Amino acid sequence: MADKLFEELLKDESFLNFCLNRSADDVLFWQNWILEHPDQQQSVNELRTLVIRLRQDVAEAKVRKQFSRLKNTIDHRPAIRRRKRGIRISIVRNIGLAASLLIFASVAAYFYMVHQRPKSNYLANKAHDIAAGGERAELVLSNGRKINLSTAKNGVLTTEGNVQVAKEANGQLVYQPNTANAGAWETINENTIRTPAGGQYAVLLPDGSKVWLNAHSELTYPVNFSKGKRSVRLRGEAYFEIAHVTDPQTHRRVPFIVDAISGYSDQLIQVIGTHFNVNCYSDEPVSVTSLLEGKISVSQRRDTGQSPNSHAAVLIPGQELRSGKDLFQVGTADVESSIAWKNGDFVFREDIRSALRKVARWYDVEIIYTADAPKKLTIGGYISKKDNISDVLNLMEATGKIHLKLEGRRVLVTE
Amino acid sequence: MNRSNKGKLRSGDLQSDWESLLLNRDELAFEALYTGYFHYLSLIGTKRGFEAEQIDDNINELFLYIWENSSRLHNVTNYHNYIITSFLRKLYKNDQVQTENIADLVNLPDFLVVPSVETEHVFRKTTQESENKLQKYIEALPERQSLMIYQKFYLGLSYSEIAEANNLSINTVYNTIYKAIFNLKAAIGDNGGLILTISALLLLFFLFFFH
Repeated sequence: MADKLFEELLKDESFLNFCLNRSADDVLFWQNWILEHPDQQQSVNELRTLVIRLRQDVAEAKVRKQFSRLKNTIDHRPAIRRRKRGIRISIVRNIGLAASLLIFASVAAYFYMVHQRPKSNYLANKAHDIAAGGERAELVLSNGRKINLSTAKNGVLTTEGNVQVAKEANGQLVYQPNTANAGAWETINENTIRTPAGGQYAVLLPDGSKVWLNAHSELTYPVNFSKGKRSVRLRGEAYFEIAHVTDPQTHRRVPFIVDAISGYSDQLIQVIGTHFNVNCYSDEPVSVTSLLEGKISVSQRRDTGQSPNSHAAVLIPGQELRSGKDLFQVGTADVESSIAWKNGDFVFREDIRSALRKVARWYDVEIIYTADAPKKLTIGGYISKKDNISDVLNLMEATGKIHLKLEGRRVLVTE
Repeated sequence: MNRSNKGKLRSGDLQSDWESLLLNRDELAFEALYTGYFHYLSLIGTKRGFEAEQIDDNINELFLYIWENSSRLHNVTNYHNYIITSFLRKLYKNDQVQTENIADLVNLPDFLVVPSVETEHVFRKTTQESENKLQKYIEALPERQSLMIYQKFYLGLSYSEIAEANNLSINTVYNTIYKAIFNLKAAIGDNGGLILTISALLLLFFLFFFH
């Protein structure tokens, strides 16, 4: 019994974060969990102690072992050191020889540099760098009027029905229902917020749910939700923090439904109150929904027909659903990399083409693959999204297997 | 090895260690610097897709160089950047690694240098008998198993990163780590297990107190 539990807990990253005190949120969560499951308390604490012990002991053993290997090398090397110093002194004494060597070396270096293909495009790329994207978006009101949110002044933009729409200083749009005449609920006016390539924006919906919209994405939502159901449509990528809402009459929780439209495989994501990320760009072969907190159910729609449920899955925190053409699969989520964009970072742990698609969206550039561009190359790394494009490309070039040259708004990929 | 040794792991004043290494070729300072940077360099190397063995070799080569040339490193203005950059250059066998690449590596994360309060607590509360069993168990761990435990629990890599770094399936990694914990539990035995549990209860109380 305890063994089964051990196995489950060890697979759970949030539990390990709790053991090793790596995330305040996870510590809090598991402390509460233990309080709610007093019968498991002993096993959980035992496992935690074992993890902490094993962690420290194994790490110390590793350093000890490697250091004694180094020590061993050092103790057996005095002869080599002395010989090196001998050579150095004789060069300094024989100034003539040193000078001729120097001339020879500079000539050789000159020819080497002239004939060598440039190893890195960093300096060239830096010369016509492209700055990072920022808080840019366009709001389309129900009457079709468009407002550019990057240039609009902070404050109330407009009133839709009984809901006030305001822009806040920190790149966030806020829908504030007027509680004084809350009677006029059932308006079905829809607004759309749309980010260009190189833009991102956050919206606080009238029910208190918050949505962060990544670059080149679009979210359509009613200005005020109806009583029994909250429903939005998404293209691109967004991170959701859904607020709990209960119907005051029936005391039922009001579900929140995200209709994620990717072109390949549209999904309906039904949630109650939870945090999750949806990536359904139409240029990505696979849509990924990753769950951080709560519980969500995802179903796939074939075509645009009205019959969902051709596939359905329920996710628990730390899981992701990957769906695409002939694909509908639940697995362990790489939460860090899937929500890195919202936290202002790129975390690359993927194929170069997928990584460059992220770059293209954020810096509004086009990626051109030449014939000798690597067909398959997995890269790993992280860098701030605030950096200029030259730094990001330079990081990728550091793999030594790819060259990236910036030409205007195009990135040329060569081997 | 023993507890007095562990208490010595100090709070990352590596600057003064660097200075006394350069001035006096202080062996203890050298070891402290090595221990202080070992895990961080391992983390950087593994995250960038290098194999554990290669990383260990490069760390040792770098520190061998530092030891042998300590008297000539006075012109290094920022020892942290120096260590990180030299390490990356060695890894990539490339002098073109730009300092910009290490912009996000400027801070040595505490969690890799200083043991946490909980860790200290668990160590203090482990009985001598369990301690001996533990040491025996750790020494007998197969190389690969201990590497994965190190990558998971110490470096904090995800299961999929470990699977990739070792060319294994995620399930193999799960199972290896699960088995290691399970065997450790068995090795310490019922008696020791009970003692660990009592200590953990204290620990929980302790945590509530501080949060």
